[in-house]
Amino acid sequence: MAGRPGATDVQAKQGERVPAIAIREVSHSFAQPGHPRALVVDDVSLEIRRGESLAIVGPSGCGKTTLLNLVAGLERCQSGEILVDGALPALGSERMGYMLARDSLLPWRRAIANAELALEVQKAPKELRRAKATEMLAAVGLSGSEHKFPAQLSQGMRQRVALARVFAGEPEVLLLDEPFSALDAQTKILLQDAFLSLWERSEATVVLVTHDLAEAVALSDRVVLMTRSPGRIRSIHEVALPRPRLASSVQDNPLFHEVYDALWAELREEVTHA
Amino acid sequence: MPDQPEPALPELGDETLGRGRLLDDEDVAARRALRQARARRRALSLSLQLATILVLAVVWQLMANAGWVNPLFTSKPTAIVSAFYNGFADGSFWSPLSTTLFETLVGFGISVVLGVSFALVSYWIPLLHEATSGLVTAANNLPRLALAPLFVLWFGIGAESRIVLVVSLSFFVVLINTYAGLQNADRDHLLLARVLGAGRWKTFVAFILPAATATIFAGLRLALAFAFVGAVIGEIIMGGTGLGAQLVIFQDAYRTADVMALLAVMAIVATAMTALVGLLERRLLRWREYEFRSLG
Repeated sequence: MAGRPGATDVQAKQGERVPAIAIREVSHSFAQPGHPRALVVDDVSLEIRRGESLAIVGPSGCGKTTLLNLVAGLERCQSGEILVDGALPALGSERMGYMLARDSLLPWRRAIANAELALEVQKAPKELRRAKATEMLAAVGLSGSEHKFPAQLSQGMRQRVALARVFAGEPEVLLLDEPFSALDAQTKILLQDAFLSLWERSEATVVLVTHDLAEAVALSDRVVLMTRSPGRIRSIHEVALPRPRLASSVQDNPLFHEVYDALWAELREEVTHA
Repeated sequence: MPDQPEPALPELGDETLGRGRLLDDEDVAARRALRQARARRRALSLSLQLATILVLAVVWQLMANAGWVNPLFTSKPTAIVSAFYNGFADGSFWSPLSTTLFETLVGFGISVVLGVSFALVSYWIPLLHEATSGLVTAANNLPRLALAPLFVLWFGIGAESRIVLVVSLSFFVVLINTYAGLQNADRDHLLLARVLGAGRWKTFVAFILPAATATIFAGLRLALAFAFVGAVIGEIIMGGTGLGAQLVIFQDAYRTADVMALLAVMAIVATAMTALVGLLERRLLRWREYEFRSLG
């Protein structure tokens, strides 16, 4: 412990080389009544570069959401170490954004007030957060719907508001847990495009947990494939597709299919092995 | 306003609900048509209700005139209408009405303040809720009107006794509904609050309280009705100068038309009070209208 602050200082001087997120030898287990503890994450080490978009895929129950929750600070690290920007994960940090499949919009707030929520919690001045939320709603294609209640919006539009909310907070680290999995196939691609256009204008580091391989390839720079439970890293695939990308046209590039097929070949082994 | 991403995002048309369309801010004509249709329906339902009352009144009147019912026991609509008019014209209804309203509103006000505060405190201190919930349930199940003689013994025969009776009826309704409402918060919303870094106070004000509002208002509406009932019954049991006491006086004198006129006053007052709370409720809970509309 004593040596760490000094080491962090040295790394800080190296600037870009400090990983945005460092996961070192992390294992995690859950208590289950009447049974021995269930190991869900088994000795995972991973460095996520600043500004990188990294997807984590794997069979159901492979611990990918647990890993994300550990980075978010929603779960305490049991063994190993996770550093976000050189510090322990802090739940509720302004620099962290978090998004789920469920939009969790507040039904009593209009779209604009929902988009403002992150900034409001951060106590940003009213004019600033209103301006930022208006800009973000426009960027996700919701100009003119600012004053609608969530119940007046379709599923896809609601998730757009959730996107606007998370980006309005200008997070440095963005954690996404199956963000578009509740949407139909076409709406999902539209939302992925909205996400890409927002993210490519920001400098956020993204960790995306998904079971959708096409989504993982379309949105990220690297895809981490995990084994079935207990989750270990099986392989890491680079996605050298050019940016800016559009999820709606990325499939035109043969490279997309190359990475997709390689991922599927490995994932199929994991899911059919049982 | 960035000019590049706009065309990059395809039209929203396909994912816009048909119903959402009608409510579109640009779509003013459709909104007006919707509003007019609703106004027409409301006018129709109102005239149907009035017609029903009118038919019943005519039948009643004819039966009384034909001697099928004894007007001494049931009176008749013409006599009731004139008693109603005279009661307000000569001012004799105003004083009991204001007394009863005073007892109702003061008791209701006390119940709201005490009920909401106690619910909040027991929400924040679970041990307090644990300790008191059994007692609260027992007290709420007790027929409070049976306490009227005790209240007279403790607080005398003045308005205080009636107000205490009103509070004993409506306090528990406010308390129980407010406490239940505070449990309504959605788990995802609370997770969002934690992830955003909302403190205890912000979480309460922005996430928990708005989710509780509908249940709290259901309690308020019921509590107000209970308060009015408590005041009137209190006056019937304990006497005094309110509508209930006046009712007993008319009843003892077999002034059935005046009794019926007073009952009409009570029905109107109770309905008006509930409607006022409903109006406030609709203002605060506009979002819920859309929730229900998108269900139906």
